[in-house]
Amino acid sequence: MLNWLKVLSILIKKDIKIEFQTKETLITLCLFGLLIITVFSLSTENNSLINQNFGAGILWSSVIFAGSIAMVKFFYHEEQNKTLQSLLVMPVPSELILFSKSIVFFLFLSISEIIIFLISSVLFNLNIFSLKLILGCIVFNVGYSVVGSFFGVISSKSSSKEILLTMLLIPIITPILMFIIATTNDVIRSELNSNFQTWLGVGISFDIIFLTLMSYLFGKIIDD
Amino acid sequence: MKVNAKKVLSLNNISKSYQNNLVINNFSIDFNYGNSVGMIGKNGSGKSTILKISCGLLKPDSGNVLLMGKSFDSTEDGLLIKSRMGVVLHEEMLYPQLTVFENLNFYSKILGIKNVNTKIEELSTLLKLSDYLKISVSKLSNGNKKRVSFAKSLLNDPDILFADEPESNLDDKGKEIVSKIFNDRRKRGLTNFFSTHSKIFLEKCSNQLINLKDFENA
Repeated sequence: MLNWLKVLSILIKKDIKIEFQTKETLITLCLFGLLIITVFSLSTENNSLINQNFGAGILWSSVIFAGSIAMVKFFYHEEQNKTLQSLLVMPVPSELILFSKSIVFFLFLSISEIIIFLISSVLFNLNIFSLKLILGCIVFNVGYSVVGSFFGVISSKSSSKEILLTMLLIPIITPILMFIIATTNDVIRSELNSNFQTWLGVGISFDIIFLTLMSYLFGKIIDD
Repeated sequence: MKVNAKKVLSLNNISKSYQNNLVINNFSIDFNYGNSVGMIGKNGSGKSTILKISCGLLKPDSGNVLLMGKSFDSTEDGLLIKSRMGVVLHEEMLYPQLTVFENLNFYSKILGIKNVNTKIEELSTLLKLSDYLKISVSKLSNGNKKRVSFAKSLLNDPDILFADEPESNLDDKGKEIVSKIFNDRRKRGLTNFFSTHSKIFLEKCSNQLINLKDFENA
């Protein structure tokens, strides 16, 4: 039997290869995210006060909603072609299926965030690039990708998967959402928030707890 | 790895229902290595469910499954069993975005096959797929998709091959190839367990028959 890391890399390479051929997930993430940003930019004047107050909310609502739509697409094909079933009759631990999906979605999400943030910084005249935000994004993306991949697989069988995924996902990721919005606000307002380390602790704890919980539950749920 | 179990598959008192509709009731059967077991029954009699339970894709409501003397309940045993079985279902379970070669290459790597190219070449020759290796699966006919699905399930030369209506979607030539594969496997002491509606295919490929009609009132 192959070692887990090798199997994980084979699964990741396969998903990346499929994405390079279809470009569906990345295009959905970037286009939908940018569309929301553009609508907000049209509806607000270039008022730095508004941007400072609502910039973080605008940025992350675009990432969250674009992410949940892209996630539905990401898992739809697996369900439609029954390729998930195919992996379940292969010598692949079910946790690895979740990890590979999470890692690939993490990559796509990170790429789309770079693009969305670049465009947003121009449209809203925001200076948002800092090490603090990069660290925050990594912690947020890990949690969002793991929880999203878990519910993406579960909701892929449902006829109303788009609604179901969003309804399941957003309440659960509230702690990391609050963390990343607080961090982004600090960066936009150039504030030195003494609570950053506390929030970072919340974000990292969330990631560890949900990575453990979701990988345990994923095996149980997928077996049924 | 050699598993010392006489019975390749044992289903013991299996029951399965879907939303209060009892499909399989207390079904038990076992068979030894080197058999080709064909299963017949009318639509909805539970053929696909029995196959899916046997290969670990479905969990029975009650009863237990032993494959090569091991149970899917243990993760380690489950992985060992899966490395030595092949599954062909109604759905081809292939990535339509990838080419035939890429699909087979992916599954070969997952199964830890050595000499991947040689194995793919050997199977594509056997299943007359050599001309399609560089073609995307989405562009193949249903019959050729089924052949790729067979190639995928034979990559690890499985001890037991599960097939749900293996002859469906295949033309006469395809059916002939598949029946030859089944018979060659049986001669080599390997096991096939399949469901079918075709009496001709059943006669050609099986040496043991399960008629689900016989279990209806069991």
